[in-house]
Amino acid sequence: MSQAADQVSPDVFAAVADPTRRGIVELLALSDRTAGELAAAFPALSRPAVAKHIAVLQRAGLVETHSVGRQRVNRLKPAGLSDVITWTETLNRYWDSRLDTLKTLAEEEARHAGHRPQDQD
Amino acid sequence: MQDIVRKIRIEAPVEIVWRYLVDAEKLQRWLMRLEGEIAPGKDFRLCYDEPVARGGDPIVHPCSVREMDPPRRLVMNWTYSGLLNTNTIVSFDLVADGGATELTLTHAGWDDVPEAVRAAQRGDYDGGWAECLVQLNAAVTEDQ
Repeated sequence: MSQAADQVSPDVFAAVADPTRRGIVELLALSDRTAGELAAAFPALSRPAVAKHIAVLQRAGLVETHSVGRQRVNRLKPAGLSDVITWTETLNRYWDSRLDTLKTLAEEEARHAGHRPQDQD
Repeated sequence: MQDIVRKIRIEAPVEIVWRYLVDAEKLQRWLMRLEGEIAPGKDFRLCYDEPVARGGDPIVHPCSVREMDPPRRLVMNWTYSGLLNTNTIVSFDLVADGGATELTLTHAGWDDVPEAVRAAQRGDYDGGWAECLVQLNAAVTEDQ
């Protein structure tokens, strides 16, 4: 009964729900950038704070880091957002599955209580 | 992203169905474990315990009651645990039809997700992105 919910990685949605991380995604969409370059784009945030956001995006599979010379460069992993693509369908399936269970339980209770329409006065 | 809307007919009176929306014991049987109380103005939490069996933590959704009109309408703020700062709105509308209930579920407030995808679209991508977006459009369109 929890299969549909399990198909969604919550990390992906957490990753894109935060405005700073959306900003990072936008910047990386334009070009690969180092952590320092990304931090420079968010002057209101500390460098460790930006690094944490990058780490969240990496864990969510949206960003990968590769070495260019001595530098560590972040880039988008386009496939990462495929989770989001299927998410609407997943959420539909989730609610359908939950509501089916609700229907079964409520109807069973109504039958036991003699609440069928034809039984009512 | 457009609202999730699901409709279902339940052959049970609205009074019975309503209790499955607000009663902790009944709610847990079809949705999630309730911590707190579903009552006007109250905060509560819906806890998805499945990860606990795998040694993980429950997924906790902080919620609060926006509107409550027994036994017809329940609207709750629903914060998706994985979605930092993203508040969604879940509404249950019950309409009596004889001894049966027409239930409409609406799950709204998903705007952040497509926004992120659209933001990403502005960049220079390989075919993978374009393909993803086509799929997104198809998925969203199919919903309605």
